[in-house]
Amino acid sequence: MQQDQEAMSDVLPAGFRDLEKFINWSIPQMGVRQEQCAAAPYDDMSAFYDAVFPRIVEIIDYLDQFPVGALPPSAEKLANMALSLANVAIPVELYHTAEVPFCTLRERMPYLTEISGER
Amino acid sequence: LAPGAAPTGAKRIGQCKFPCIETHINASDRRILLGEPAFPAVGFTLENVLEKPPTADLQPHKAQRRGSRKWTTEVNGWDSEPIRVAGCLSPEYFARETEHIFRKSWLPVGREQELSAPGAFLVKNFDAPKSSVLVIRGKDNRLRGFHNVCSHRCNRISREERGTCSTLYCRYHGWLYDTSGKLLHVPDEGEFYDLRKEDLGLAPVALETWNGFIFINLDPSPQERLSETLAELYEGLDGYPFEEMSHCVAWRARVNANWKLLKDAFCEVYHLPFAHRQSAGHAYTSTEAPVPHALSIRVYKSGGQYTFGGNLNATYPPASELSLKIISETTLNARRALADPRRKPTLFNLTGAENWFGEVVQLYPSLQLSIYPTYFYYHNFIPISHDATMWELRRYTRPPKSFAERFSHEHLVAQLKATVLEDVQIVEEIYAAMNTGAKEYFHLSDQELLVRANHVLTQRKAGPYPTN
Repeated sequence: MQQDQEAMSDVLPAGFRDLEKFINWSIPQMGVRQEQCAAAPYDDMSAFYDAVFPRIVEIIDYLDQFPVGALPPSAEKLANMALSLANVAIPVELYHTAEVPFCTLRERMPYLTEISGER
Repeated sequence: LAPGAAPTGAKRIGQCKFPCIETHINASDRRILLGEPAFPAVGFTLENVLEKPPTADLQPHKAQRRGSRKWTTEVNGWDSEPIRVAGCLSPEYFARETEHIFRKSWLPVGREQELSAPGAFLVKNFDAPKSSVLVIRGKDNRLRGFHNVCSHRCNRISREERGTCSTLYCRYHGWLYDTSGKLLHVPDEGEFYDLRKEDLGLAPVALETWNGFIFINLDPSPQERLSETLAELYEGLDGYPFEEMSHCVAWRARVNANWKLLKDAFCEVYHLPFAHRQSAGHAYTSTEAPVPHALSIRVYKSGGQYTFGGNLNATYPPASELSLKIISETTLNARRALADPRRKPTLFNLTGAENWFGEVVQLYPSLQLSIYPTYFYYHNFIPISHDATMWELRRYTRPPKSFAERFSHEHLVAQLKATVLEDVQIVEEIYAAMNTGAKEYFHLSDQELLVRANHVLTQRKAGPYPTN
């Protein structure tokens, strides 16, 4: 019951609660995450990156306590946030702008969920 | 920075279980630095990349200035003439390609792993030539291809792109087929005159597999077996663990360009420091080779291959550095395994280069593979018309075994997507520019031999390109 409540809420694991203000970046499903990350305003990406990238090693170490595919709900939330960071790092580190410059193709390039390994 | 030193004003923020990584954040510009305790921290400033004019740091090194042309003329005995652009612009020529190439060639439709269970099927629709092919794993575990068309009144059997079934059923009048294409049942069969059910199975489409790839051929009697088409490639990649790379990420996009131009985009290393200046270019360049050359380039009966090296000491931006460090041991082991003479695919790293990165293999007309030690990806080019192509990109690797590997995978996937978007954006711009009629020819260096191969192989099959 407590787990259910946790799954429904925006609670991150103890030690990471200060990152809850970025909970909107906790996006399940790789395809959806790619789309939503790419569609975010650049200032949001950059604020998220600046706050969370310095913690990424700590986050990875915490999540690696659990077997893959068996994360408790709060850890799953943190994992999905960290995976968004992996996406957002591309525009922030490489392009300094939200999109691949001049690219008009992204929105026309859907992720094929049915054959991809990560739903 | 001295070995082990933190940058001035930087605060050490952690060391993870990957013993080689320390993370620092630079207080003054908030730039994050990753470093190995024993080595200088890697600082990557975007400004280094962006603010230099592209030519300033890409002056050919002495050894490159002279050029080392040999692949096109000397090794392969081909001419070095420019290519006419009209072969990519003409709807009439595209009609010839449809008949002489796409109706007659082995075309990839997916990977066997997608159809692992009996009754699993996929449907691949083609615009040129118009066809809908259903590939299904039978209850006898055999893969078969069929036209996705009912023998009764030609209704499309499956509307779904993929699924699993125990029988195939036409929703128009309920004709029922088994997973081997045999017609099992016709409702109200007594109302038909002389219906020979044994002759009314689904129409077969030739199907063969290679390294887990499923190919079909729309020719009712294919001119050659897949092994004859692939020639030396058929066994040349044996030893690469394709079957272990089961973790897939896939995208699809309609690209506004001729199929050959899209294919040309992934055929050479010349463009890397320019088109991918912001994303991946620096991994393939060094002071000695600011413009990279392939380690070797070979043309085959039906395709080609180039072997590419890279800068093993390249520095990367922080998230890439982290992603690569996470899989560094796996990568090292995979490189070792592929260099082991007992496992090494015969066509891999023919020159035995120390800085070997991977192989790009083209299977004419519509599959291109990029093979790295820990993953491979492939492009599938499916022509729609002379000016549009359906493009599918899939990346395969081993399933991640830890969250760290998931993070690394997610980042490398995002990196691949950004990099190919840079390519494909340029392809659409090329096609628009080519259509202005400003140029009659395009020109290819020796490094672009596989681009030439696309156009030479096309003209061998579909005739010379039109003159305007």
